[in-house]
Amino acid sequence: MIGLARLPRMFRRSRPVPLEAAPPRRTLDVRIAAPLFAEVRAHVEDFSRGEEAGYLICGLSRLPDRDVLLAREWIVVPDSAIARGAYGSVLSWSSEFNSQVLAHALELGATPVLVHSHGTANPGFSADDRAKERPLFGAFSRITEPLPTGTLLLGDGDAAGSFWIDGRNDLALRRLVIVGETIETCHASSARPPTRGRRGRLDRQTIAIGPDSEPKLTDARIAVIGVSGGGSHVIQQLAHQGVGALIPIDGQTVEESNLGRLVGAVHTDIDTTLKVDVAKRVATGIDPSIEVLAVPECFPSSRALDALKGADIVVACLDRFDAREGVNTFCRRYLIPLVDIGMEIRSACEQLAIADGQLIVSRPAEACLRCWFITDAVLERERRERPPGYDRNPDAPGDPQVVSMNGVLASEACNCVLDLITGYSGGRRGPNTFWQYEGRTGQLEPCELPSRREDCPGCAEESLGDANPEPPPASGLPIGRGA
Amino acid sequence: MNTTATTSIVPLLAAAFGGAEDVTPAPGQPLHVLLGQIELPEPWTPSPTRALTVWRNWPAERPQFVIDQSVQGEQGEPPRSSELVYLLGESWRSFSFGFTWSGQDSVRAIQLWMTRFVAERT
Repeated sequence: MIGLARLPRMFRRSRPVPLEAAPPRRTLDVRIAAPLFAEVRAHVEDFSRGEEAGYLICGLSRLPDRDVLLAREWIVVPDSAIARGAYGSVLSWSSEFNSQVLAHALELGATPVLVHSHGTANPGFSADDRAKERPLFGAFSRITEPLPTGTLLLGDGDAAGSFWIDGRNDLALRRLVIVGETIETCHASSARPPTRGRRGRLDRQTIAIGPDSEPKLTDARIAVIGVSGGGSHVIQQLAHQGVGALIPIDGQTVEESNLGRLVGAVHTDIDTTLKVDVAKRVATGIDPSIEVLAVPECFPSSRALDALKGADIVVACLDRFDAREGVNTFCRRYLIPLVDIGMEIRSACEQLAIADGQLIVSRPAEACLRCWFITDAVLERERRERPPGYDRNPDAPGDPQVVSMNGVLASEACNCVLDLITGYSGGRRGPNTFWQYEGRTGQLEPCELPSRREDCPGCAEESLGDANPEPPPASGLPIGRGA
Repeated sequence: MNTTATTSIVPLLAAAFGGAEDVTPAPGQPLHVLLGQIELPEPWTPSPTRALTVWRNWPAERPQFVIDQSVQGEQGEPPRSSELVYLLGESWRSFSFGFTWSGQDSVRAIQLWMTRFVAERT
């Protein structure tokens, strides 16, 4: 189907490229927020006038084993550019439109991905698609390099893709990930994950939430930032739930005061054991097949950032607002759902005066923590009251903590993770992705998430991925200046 | 933020610090300025290095100032009372440093931040 009409001279090659490309070396995911995907699907699956197409403008997340394209913007091929049945194709459009799209993507430090559909399950590229993609994306990819570019073909719960980098058709689509109330994954037919053996230990949970849950949980990779009072509960429960890979991130060593709240820590760990090693011991003690990538550093060290980029969901259990702001922005950049829990306990004359907590699930394309919860005023107050280095001051008073109150929020956070992965609630959680907890009365109250803020600095970086102002050689990208 | 008040910041900083680039991530956001060649006094290395400044509520508030995370003292230690923060897709080092702020000009604001490295030589 796809159209490639009259490539501009700059994109033409005088020498034909060999028909068979080298075997794929790397794989590629495409990650997209559910509302944007709904727009894409509605357009390309409307066959009332014949086939339709458009371009996704995407940022890039480069991982050691794969690239992830992060969908930012959808541009349909307009009627004014379309010629149906011309040039031997079902659908063609002008080279000028292609050039405009490419220029727009480059301006944003992003890359274009063509999307269309044949309206069939088990999608496969037609001979026409194949004939037209080489001159188009062979040329595009030399210009977008180091970002890949290519084409995505949507099927019914399935997807196919063909991606290019620096003139080579060298990247195989692994999966299309749609991030909404649940994380829907369309595996490319050529890249389906191997079927793994059933884990008997999950039988009771499988009875509760369905047989599809186990493979989804096995494939899931969840990062937990901060594995002390809240995060240690989360690690333990995610391991019990059957999550296949865990990324605990924490730079601290167990102290005596941690034994009042750190699940899995024992007295011999005091001053000797990293909190992430306790997390690893707990998780692999439950199931040795769980992959645990322990990062003994605090967010946002380079090692922590690299590990987080590979996560499907991030659970933040942090007590500083500036760190939570950073995690929030990171998750927006990489289109990763964020589950954030926090608890503030204050006492007066050794009596519990305040025990307020909150649990917020922040999904791409919806309000983020910086839209409403972490305001400039909150950050400014923290800078005054707890400046950088405050937490390492041995004379600073420790925050009051009650393990069982942390546990309430942590348990509900794990329900949210479970729902994001399996959809067990069937949408019954609805738009409520914000809960307030009152530890003195025991009330956990669902609240409606506020709307997105127009000038939110967190949302402003959505899907920018690796782009930063001054990139390291051969890996970073110039920052986009917004659409 | 007063856009008019920030218009002149980038050229002033560029002239004073050997290069400055507007790296504001999106329209409507506070001005972000990358200083690519900030000179640090001995024994801090590397010098020159990068610094990032964010001009939120300028000039009522002093700019946020962070430096490249690789900056270290003589023994390889990071500046005291500092921690990493995530800004514009990477880790930077922020640090505690108090100085009296009365709405001075933008170059003076950065110079005041830089005195922190003179005040603590080790």
